[in-house]
Amino acid sequence: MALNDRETRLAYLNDKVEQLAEEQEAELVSDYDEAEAEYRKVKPPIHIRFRGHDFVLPATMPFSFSMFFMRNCVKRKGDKLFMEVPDDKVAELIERMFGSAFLKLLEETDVELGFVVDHMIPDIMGKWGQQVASKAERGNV
Amino acid sequence: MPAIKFANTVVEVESQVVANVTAFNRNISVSEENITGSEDVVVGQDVLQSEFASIAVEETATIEGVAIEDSGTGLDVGQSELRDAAETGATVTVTHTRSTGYGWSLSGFFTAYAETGSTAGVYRFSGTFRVNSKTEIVPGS
Repeated sequence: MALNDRETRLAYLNDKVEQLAEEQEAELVSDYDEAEAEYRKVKPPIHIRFRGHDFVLPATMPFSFSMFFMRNCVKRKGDKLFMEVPDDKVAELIERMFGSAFLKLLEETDVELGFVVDHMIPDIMGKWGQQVASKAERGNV
Repeated sequence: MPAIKFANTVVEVESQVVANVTAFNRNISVSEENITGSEDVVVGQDVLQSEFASIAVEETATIEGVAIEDSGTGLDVGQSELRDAAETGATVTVTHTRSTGYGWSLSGFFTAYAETGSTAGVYRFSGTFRVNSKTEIVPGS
């Protein structure tokens, strides 16, 4: 590019300043995509098989599940915290934990809710670092 | 890189635009002389009240920006044209023109100059500039 006259040079420099400003702005972005990919390699997901279908769950408790769980399923009794799932939140808890495909499978088959609630949910919660009682009361986990 | 604040501020060497200024800071210092006389006493006290007079004003400016890479031939090819001027102590002019057409022009030379990196066709630079003279720019003059 020939930079012979004043106007061409000014336009060239203004373009470069704009370009550098954009580059500088991009450098300020903290990109966690690669870090998350590395994290996933270190902590591989949980694979479960149920009724001949394979399901993949996150290695640790997903943020969205954690928020749902803390808002809806934790009750304080005295100075202790208990896991107690309201009746109308059971389906949502299963979907958030196992995914919509798993919930659909439950709805289309004769799987007993008690098995899911007594065995599967406590097991996954345990893998996610939250030990819960496996014996369910009515409407509770 | 706050280019907008210093829009239309450029560095020229021999009337050729060689760099765009993105940050600018003028520093003024005044030399003084003690001109206290025996008559300059604090009223009612036996102590002198010091009196000074300004005897010289000097100004420097610290500037940052981007400089055009030299596209010429010879040993300096690939080096910025502004660096060529800084290395030889040549007189350079910093010109700021507002949208009204008014502005100012500072003439002097670099007492310190550094390039901090380059991208296609330009160098980022910073330096201290000794201001020897200042001229108002008036449109149409």
